[in-house]
Amino acid sequence: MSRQANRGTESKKMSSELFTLTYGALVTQLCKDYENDEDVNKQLDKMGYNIGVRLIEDFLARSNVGRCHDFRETADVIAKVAFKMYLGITPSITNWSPAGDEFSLILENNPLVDFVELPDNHSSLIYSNLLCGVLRGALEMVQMAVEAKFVQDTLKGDGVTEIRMRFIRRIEDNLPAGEE
Amino acid sequence: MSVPDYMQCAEDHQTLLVLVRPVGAVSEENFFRIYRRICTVSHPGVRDSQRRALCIRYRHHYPPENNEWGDFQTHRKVVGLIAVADCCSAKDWPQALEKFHVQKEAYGATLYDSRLLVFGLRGELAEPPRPDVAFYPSYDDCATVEKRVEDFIESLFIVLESKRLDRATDKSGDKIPLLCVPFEKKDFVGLDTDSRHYKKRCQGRMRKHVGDLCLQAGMLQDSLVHYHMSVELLRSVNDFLWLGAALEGLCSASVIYHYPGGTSGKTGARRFQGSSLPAEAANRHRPGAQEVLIDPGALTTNGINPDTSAEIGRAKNCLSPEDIIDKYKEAISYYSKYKNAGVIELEACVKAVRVLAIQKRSMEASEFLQNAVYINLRQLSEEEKIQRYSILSELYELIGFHRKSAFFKRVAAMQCVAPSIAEPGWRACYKLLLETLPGYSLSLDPKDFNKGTHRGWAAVQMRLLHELVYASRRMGNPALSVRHLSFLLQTMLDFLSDQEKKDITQSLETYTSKCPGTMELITLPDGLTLPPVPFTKLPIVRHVELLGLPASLRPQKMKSLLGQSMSTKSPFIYSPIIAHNRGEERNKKIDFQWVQGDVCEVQLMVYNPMPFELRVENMGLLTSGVEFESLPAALSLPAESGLYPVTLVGVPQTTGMITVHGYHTTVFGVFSDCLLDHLPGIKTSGSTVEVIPALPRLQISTSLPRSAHSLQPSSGDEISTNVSVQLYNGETQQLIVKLENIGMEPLEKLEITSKILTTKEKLYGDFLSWNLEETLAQFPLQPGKVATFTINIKVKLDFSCQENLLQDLSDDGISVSGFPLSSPFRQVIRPRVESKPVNPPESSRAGDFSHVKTLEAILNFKYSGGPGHVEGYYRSLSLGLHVEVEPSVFFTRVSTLPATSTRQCHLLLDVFNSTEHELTISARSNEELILHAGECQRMAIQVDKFNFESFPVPPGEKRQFANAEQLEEERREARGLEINSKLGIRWRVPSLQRSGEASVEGLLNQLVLEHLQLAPLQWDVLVDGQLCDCEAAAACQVGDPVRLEVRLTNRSPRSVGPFALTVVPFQDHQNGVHNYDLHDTISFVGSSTFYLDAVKPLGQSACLGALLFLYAGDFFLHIRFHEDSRSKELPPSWFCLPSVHVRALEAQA
Amino acid sequence: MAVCIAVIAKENYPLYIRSTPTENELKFHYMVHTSLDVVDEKISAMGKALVDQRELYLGLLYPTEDYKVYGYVTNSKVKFVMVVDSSNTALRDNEIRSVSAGDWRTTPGWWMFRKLHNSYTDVMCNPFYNPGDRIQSRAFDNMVMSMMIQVC
Repeated sequence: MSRQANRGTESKKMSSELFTLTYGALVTQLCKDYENDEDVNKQLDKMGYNIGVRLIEDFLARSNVGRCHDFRETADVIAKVAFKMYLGITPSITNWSPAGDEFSLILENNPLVDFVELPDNHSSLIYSNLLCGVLRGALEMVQMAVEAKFVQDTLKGDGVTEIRMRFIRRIEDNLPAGEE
Repeated sequence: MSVPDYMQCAEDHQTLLVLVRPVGAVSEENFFRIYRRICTVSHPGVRDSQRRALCIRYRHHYPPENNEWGDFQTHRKVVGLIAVADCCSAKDWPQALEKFHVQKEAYGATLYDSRLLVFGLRGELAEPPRPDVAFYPSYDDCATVEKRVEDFIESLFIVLESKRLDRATDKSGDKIPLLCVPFEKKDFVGLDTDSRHYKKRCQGRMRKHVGDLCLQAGMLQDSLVHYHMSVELLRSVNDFLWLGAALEGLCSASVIYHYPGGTSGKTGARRFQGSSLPAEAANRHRPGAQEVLIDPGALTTNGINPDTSAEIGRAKNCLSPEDIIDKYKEAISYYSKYKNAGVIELEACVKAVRVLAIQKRSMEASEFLQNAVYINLRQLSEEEKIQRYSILSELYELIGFHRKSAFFKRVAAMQCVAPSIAEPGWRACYKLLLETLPGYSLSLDPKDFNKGTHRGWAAVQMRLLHELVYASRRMGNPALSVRHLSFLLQTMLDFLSDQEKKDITQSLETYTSKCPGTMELITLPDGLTLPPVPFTKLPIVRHVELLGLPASLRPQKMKSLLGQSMSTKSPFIYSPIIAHNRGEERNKKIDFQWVQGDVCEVQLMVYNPMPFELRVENMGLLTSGVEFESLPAALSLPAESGLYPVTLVGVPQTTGMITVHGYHTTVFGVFSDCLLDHLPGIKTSGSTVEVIPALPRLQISTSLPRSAHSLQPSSGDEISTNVSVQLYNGETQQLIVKLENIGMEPLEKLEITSKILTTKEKLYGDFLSWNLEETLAQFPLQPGKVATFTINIKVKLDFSCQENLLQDLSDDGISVSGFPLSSPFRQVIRPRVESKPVNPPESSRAGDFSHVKTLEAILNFKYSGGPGHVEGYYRSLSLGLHVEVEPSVFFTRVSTLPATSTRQCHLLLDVFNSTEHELTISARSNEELILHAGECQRMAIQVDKFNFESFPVPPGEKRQFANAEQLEEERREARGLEINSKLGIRWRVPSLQRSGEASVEGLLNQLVLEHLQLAPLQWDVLVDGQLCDCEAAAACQVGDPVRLEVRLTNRSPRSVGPFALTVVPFQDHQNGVHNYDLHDTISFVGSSTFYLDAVKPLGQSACLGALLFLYAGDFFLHIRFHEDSRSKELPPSWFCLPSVHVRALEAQA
Repeated sequence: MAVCIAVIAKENYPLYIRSTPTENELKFHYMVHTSLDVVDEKISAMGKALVDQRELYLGLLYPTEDYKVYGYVTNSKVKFVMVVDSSNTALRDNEIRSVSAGDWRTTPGWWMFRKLHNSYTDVMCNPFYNPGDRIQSRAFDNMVMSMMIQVC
């Protein structure tokens, strides 16, 4: 009951430093466990995916957003509702591809990377790759296969952080016969 | 005054300065012997009612210009002179006395008294004894020196006391002389000596002077009072220099009161007054000292009370510890107004610092010191500078500022070798530099730097190390500079720039070319030891692994009943704790062994952190436990290399447990012993291994070519050599193995086993066979000797081609009924030849025929000898054998044809030549059948039927194959073997001169076997008592009754019968027509039907009848079973009666 | 204005030291190193009295002929040392007075150290920084450089 009650749009306050440091500890531990950055990126994406497939339920329950009719609407929900809800930021949406199947999320300020400075020996690490995994996992649960990747990162000296999202296909529900 | 006495302390104000001088030629040694004895008399008790104590300060050197400040502070005044003279004879005496007087002259103005100690004379002088001269015969015979000195001091005291009383009792009205310091003298010329101001000044200065005298005379309280008064007087006339002195006097007296243990830091060594004070009380404040304040009533401005101590309480007028510092500050600020009083100011600072150190007020002390640093004296000599910096360092140390202390010590050290110094004191410089090490938290033990990255003041530490290197080199100790430079390179590597790395290694190489770096401990003269510096970072070793011997040389333990080869420490088969134990595995024993006398390897993964190529020479292993001959390697690592594998080798010379502790290297001319225990972040998988006694080494070479073909990986078999051979199916080849003992021990034992790797192919016969006896006869095989050994390789795979083998034998019309009458081929005796068209090559069948099969086997040579054999070890060498079996012939079809005799039959084999050559095939002694490539022909072989039941089955095997199916399989194989050996089919390829056998074992199915089997019911037909079976006809006479007997022997395990048999005679017209209508020709004597009773197993039964041939001719008798009597459940082949051929001849008349 | 800024670990070894001009870097190393004697002394002398405060501005550690050395210590015993040119007027000597008067929070020196402290905190929060290692952060570097140039 209480859990139910807590699922509102208002988010509870927590220390952003603790959140950032926790994520930092996770990434650095991965860096210790896996020798090369590519593996770390993969792990982060996998973890993110696992978060995404769970988080989508929480998101739908809290946000009360309905079914999206097109990818543009999805983009809006991600940027204005989801990012706002979980990270407290609202990325802007730009660079729509002519076909309307690709767009960019521009993060002016990425809360995951507060304090972070990438050492020289981790130049190929995609520090916030977890986010891509989350997006991919969450969208997959609502029948959207997408590809998400960082194309710009303030950690790498870029002015902004940009996540490029590409719609791949709709996933048909393969419901067992008779369950329709 | 220009020479500061940095050692001065506040309590020195109470001392009397006594100068001890040698006169004439006195050896330094002798002088200091006496000097030290004199110095022991530092606190002589003065026999006085007030139990006052005197303190004496002895000096053997004192600049006369300092003496001139004696009026300013009386402790600076030389009041006593003790001269030491050496007189060999009386002749020397006048001269000695003369010199004594000269010395007295120099300090004459201030001296109270003087003494001359003469050594070498025994009072043989004519002169009357003088009170100020004492004679001693020698330096060893002068027991009364101390007594003399005490007496002398007593006389000094008397003078002091008289002076004190004299000054103190001066009436205020009298003209008080103006005391002044040397530089003041000219200032007061022409001043009005009658002015009130001047008088006050005189009074104040005199008061101060009296205070000094009181303090020296041990009247502390009096001195305090006088100082207080003096302060008042001098303050009023702004006589700052003397006011400062008065304040300092006040401080000194208070310090003496508060800190009876002294402030010099040498507790109890010099200043201890008697032994009444316990040591720990020395630095404590005297209780209640602060509470007693100055009694204002006692302070009068105009007159000096002669006996102030009576009026004032014991501790009154004494400054509190805090006040002492304030007054010092004030005094110093007054001194600082006078440039010429720099020394005084400096000394006051030092004295204040010592007091503050006792009070543990380091911050304020540091301020005084800071001030002292900035006091500019006249141009100091280099030596004075060194002294000044050293003392600053010492004082900073005293107040716990170790870093600052180290800083000044280093400055002092640098001063020792300043370019302006003609003879730089490198030794002193080096010594001082060493003393700065703790201040920079730098240890010279490389072990302290083993824990990861160095955390410290790298920049300043590196500078210091550079200076140590340079100083030690200039000092002429190259070993030391090499050590320091090595240390710098090893410990500061992370902080060195590429250029610095280059420079340092270059200088190191230059140094070591003259004096190589060693692993010896360097002990410095002052006891400091410099541990060796192994270059564990040049190169950096990341991983160390002891390698086992190659599989062919790896010793194995013979299995004994007692020793389990795998001893598990834990009762659990699997424990996560053990599996994940990443911790101390370093000293874990390794589960392989090394062998005495055999080269052993240790692999290191190394990398070079330097920006240039690194040459590592003489890299070898450090071991213990076993005598080990290390075979060092030299390597060259490219600049900033990645991980490089390096293999270090050596030969254990004895047996036991060997532990690899580390490795040694020579880099840049420095020998290093790097111990694994001291290497950070190194991974090893154990470093202790057992060395077992020497074993022989076997090398094998074979008659067959080596093959690159490696056998399929199978656990535990590491093949040292692979050989391969191509054979046709059925071929036999000899493999000659040359065994050479290439070790140092005799080869005594050899055991050979073979293991055929699992194959799908069914293999018939022994693939590999050998006879070891001959080889073993050559044993023991001495080192260098060769023995040979022969192995027969016989490949006998299935000759059938399963899918094509026709199961139904009757399909080409061959009857299996057992009735020879119906067989069209019954007359065929020699192999029947029937050509068949060659199968089309593109057919799938042809593909199958040409399929090359592979057989693989491992021959394992276990051998041992020498001491290792005694210990129960052996080695094993594996030879991989790869045989490619090409098909030779195939039996595409097999069938049987009954022979004329029931005991025989014909085996028909369709033979297919799958080689590309012409091939001949023969069975036993039969003539050869020629098959062209790809040709298929039928061959028929007449064989005796087999009585399989009689094959003995070993009882052991029977039990092993309890399973009925297996048993049946076994039996079948045995039958196959038996049949095959009887057939003896061989093929030959004349063009290749190769031959082999062809086996039918794989293609004999149940049906064929049945046909080949001698039926368990043996029917014998006897004509006239003669066994009638084969082709030969039984002869009989026409007209005579011929006795016919049918005998049944039951070899089956069941009882059979009863049977009814009918004898049907017929004539064969040889044209396919059988004439059964013979009623006129043959008549039966009795019935033509025979009856046989039931026959029990192993039983026999017979029935008799008779025939009468009426005409001559060839007749056949067909004995037929009655349909009803023939048991349906028995196979028809059981009822195969021989046909009877009777030739009736005309009766010979 | 500052000519040398150093961060010293709890164990009194430098985590970071930077000076301008760079040619005489070693001099500043010595200066900062010896200043630690004073820092230690001040900490142990003041120790308990200020234990409840978040940080400790130690004020002027000692003056030399050309420079003044100021110190600051965090409660985790990390020290910041700043060497300032004596000719600089921004940090006046009256600061010492205000420190002794207890309102040192108003002094420019304190504010500079606060800035340094905040920046150091950010460095510590960088997950790739191992506490105790030398600071190699670009952000920290930039901040320090700005403090050396700017006149506050």
